[in-house]
Amino acid sequence: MPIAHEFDYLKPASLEDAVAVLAKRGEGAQVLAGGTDVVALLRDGAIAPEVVVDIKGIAGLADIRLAGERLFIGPLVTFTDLIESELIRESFPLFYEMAVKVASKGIRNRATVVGNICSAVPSCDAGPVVLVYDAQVLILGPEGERAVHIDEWFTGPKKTDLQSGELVVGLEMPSSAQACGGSYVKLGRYRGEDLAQASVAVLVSPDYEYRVAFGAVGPVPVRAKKLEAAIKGEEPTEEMFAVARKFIARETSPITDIRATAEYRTHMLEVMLERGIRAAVARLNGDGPEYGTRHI
Amino acid sequence: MSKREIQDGPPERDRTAAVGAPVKRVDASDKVTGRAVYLDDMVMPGVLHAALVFPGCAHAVLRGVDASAARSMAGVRSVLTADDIPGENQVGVIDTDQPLLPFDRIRYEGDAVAVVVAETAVLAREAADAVSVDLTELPGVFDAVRAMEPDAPLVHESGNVFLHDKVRKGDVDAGFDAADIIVEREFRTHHQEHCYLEPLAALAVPADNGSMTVYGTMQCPFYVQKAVADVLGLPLASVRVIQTVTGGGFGGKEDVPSEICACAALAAWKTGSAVKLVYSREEDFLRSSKRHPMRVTFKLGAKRDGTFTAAKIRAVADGGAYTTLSPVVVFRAAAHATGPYEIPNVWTDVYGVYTNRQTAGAFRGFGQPQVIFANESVIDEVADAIGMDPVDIRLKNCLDVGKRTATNQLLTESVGLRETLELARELSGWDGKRAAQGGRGGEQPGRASDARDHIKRGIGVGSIYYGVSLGAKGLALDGSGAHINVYRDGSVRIGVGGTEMGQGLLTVLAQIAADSLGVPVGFVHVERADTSVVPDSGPSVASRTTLMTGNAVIDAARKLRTVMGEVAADSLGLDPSEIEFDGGTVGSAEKNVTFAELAEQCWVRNVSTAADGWYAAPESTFDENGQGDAYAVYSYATHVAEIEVDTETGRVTVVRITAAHDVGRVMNPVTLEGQIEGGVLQGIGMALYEQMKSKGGAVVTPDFSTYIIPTAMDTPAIRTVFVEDPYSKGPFGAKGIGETPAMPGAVAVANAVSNALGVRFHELPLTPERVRRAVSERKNS
Repeated sequence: MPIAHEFDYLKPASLEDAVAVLAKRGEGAQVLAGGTDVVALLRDGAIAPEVVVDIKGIAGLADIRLAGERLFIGPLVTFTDLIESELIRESFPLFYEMAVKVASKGIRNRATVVGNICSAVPSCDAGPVVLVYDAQVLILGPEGERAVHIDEWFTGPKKTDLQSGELVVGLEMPSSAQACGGSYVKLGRYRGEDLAQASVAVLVSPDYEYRVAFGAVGPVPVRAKKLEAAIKGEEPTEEMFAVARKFIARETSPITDIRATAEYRTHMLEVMLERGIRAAVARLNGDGPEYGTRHI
Repeated sequence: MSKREIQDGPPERDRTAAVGAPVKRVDASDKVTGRAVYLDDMVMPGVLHAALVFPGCAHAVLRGVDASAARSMAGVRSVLTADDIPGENQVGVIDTDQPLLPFDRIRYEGDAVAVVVAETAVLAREAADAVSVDLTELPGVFDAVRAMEPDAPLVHESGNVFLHDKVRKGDVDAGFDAADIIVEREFRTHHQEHCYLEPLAALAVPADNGSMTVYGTMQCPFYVQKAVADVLGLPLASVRVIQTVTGGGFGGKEDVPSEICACAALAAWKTGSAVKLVYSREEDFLRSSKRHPMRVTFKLGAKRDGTFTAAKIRAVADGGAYTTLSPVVVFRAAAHATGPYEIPNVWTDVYGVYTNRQTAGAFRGFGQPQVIFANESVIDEVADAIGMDPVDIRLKNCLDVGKRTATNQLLTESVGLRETLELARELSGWDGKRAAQGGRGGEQPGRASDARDHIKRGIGVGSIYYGVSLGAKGLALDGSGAHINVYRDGSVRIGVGGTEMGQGLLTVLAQIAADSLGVPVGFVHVERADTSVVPDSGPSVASRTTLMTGNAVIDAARKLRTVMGEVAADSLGLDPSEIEFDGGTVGSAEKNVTFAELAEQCWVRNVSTAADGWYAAPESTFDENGQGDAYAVYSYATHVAEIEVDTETGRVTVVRITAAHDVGRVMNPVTLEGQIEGGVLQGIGMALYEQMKSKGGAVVTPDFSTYIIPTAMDTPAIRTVFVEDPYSKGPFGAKGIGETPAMPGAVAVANAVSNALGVRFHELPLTPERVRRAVSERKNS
């Protein structure tokens, strides 16, 4: 079926023009970047915007750059861009490990990282990774610029802190993560493109401070800070995993749906967390599996 | 690779330049460049669009359809219900229990009660959603075993059990008495969806004098012609059906296209305009037929040396809401239920049962993969119990020339099963791997630091046989025609009712025609099926088209060689017996003309160079006890699967499949390999991933995000190997290949997982959750 709903299509050439349109049209405006979510939603009739604002005509939004102490990722950076970026591969390889597990090549060529967290489905692959990278979401709106910490970004299934009239203009995160080992473990039903039924991102610093985030096992992707505190400073041992496992139930609320049962998701979180921590620590110490490994 | 030479010789000449060669598919360039025109690509000015109205329930009394709101919408041309059908409201291909548009009863969620015709597809959909349907919902029945109980809701007044095929051979009680070991288990398989690339689609165009032309994606244009003629009340001659380039079928486009084509034709008839109807993937999933879910109880007795003494099988097939092709599927399941083994005493009952679920019909393998899962699993359990290797126990009992099937059919030729087993064993490295890995449960998985400790490896086997073509219960459909026209420049056009659905038929028939006329394959053009110009070749199903239509092409070519050979003999001054057709020349080694020159000579002399060929299946029988020569010939195959299973996650990864197939004769090694690889993946899908789920009759896996099939990413290494044990009545010795690649793989994978884990599985698919549960239950026991 073609898209049944009629709408205006605008392709502004500058951020100022884009924000002006968004401010004017408010809730009736839908931003379009890669379109892999937006077009599907339009076709299904799940959204019915008055105007679609395509930001692909704005220069400079596809940058990946290291500026001082911060890594910047523009709103038009696709998953393929992440995979092909030497900077990402060398210094922020957890993004690489996540990106290669997203959907299929065709989707990765179009879908953007920022779009992924703006759609904010609980299973979004980028969610747990930007959480452990401690990202700031940079926003431009009628009132000017503001930044939201990623911990405050996800407010519910498909809901974010983004306000009507605002546009995400990038992600920024501390470059200190370069010294860390990381891992992204995604539970899918097969090797083909799939939504995460559960996901775990782990980042471990040289002094064994852990950041752990879960996806698809609650209304929003979530940092597991109590768990992190409980294993802080510990090397991976059976005892440490026993402690970590106890926190999984506190930090997650998996459900049963057509793709997996809550019981299996819960069981798999234990397996995924353990394997994720092992891989992250091994990578920190220079002898882990190559980034991009599936782990499960 | 073991290749046997043809000893008896094919019925016709055995000079094969094209047959057996890796001839490039004749449709390859069009498909890879995008030039191929699929139904939805067809553009026609003024075409209207149709959409169907689904009431959204699985079982109900239909009281009325109120289309007034839809009719009043601008751009809506017509809304048609059962009352508008000028002919018979019936599309069932075997039984007449399936109305095109239900008028009194809704029997499953895919029943459509009205066809809306509008100026755009979007408008048609909107108008269809505006139609209100007055229903009284009835309790439904969604499980075939439950449907057999006396108090179950009735799907049709005639009762829910609509089929019962049986096989009674020998004395099954005595057979079990003579057994040293008996294993009895119950198995379950579920709905599997065909997932062809191109969803169902049709375009109907009213033509002169009240006739109707219908274009569509389909396997069987003559089925569609009959359905459209019945529904419109037209003679068959007034209905022309043209098969468009068809993006896959796998059985799903055998009878089901009759429904969509008849809906489009009805709409075109009513409006006087061309009407297009294209299903979305979700509509296709909802309305297309599925592989029958089956509950199979399998009991097998064997001597300590592995000799099978008796088998007793009870299988219940969920046919869904209508009969469709269930009679053929149930018959095939009954005839083949024991697997490709000689068993002296057999007692088989297979039931076909109505439920309020989606209709089950033809799907590659045609009822056999479900019973194969049972028989090939139980054989492994028996082998395990007596300490025998799974390949050895199969070799000990396997069918061979001089042995008898479950229907007591004496096999007289072309039984390559043993070779497939031996080749698969050798090429997979079975003996070494079976000894080294998996086996009797392996050690307990632990939370070890070595990341690979939780990986277990396994290797498993599955063997099958498949009665080629329709057999004793499909004889009326089992003729095949072909038309050959040689033009005056020597180019050749072939018309057949058989269809190209991606399997490579056009190419293989061109190869057969080329060698039968002694011309290069490039001389030959094979027409896509158009019922107004090609003869009825029977349905393109049941692995029958190369055999049946290939023989019809050979028959027509023989007639042409006689006629043209006489002209050649006359002009060359040779005796007709000296005339050879070979390599594009005709005559003897010394005196000859080119085929093109001969064609011109025939034209000048007013000698017709058109001929019709025909081939009818040999007699086959299946009596009330299921005894007889059920099929003329069988194809055989063995697959060996090598897998890894992660005991912590339950995930199974298929590493390698070795697929050995006895095809009689390889017509085209490249297209054959492609067919086998595709079938291997469908087998893996059935083993690991695929289950069309529904709740109260409502499909809850309506798309590819919820119903998953293996992708290129999930494809293992596949080694294919061919056994050529020729069939004397086959074209150049060939049998059939369409179905067999999809049949042994699922159980080979399941057997490999059992080998790795030491637990047996009785239900497919082996999802990670199911495997993980089995691992933890074993740990706890």
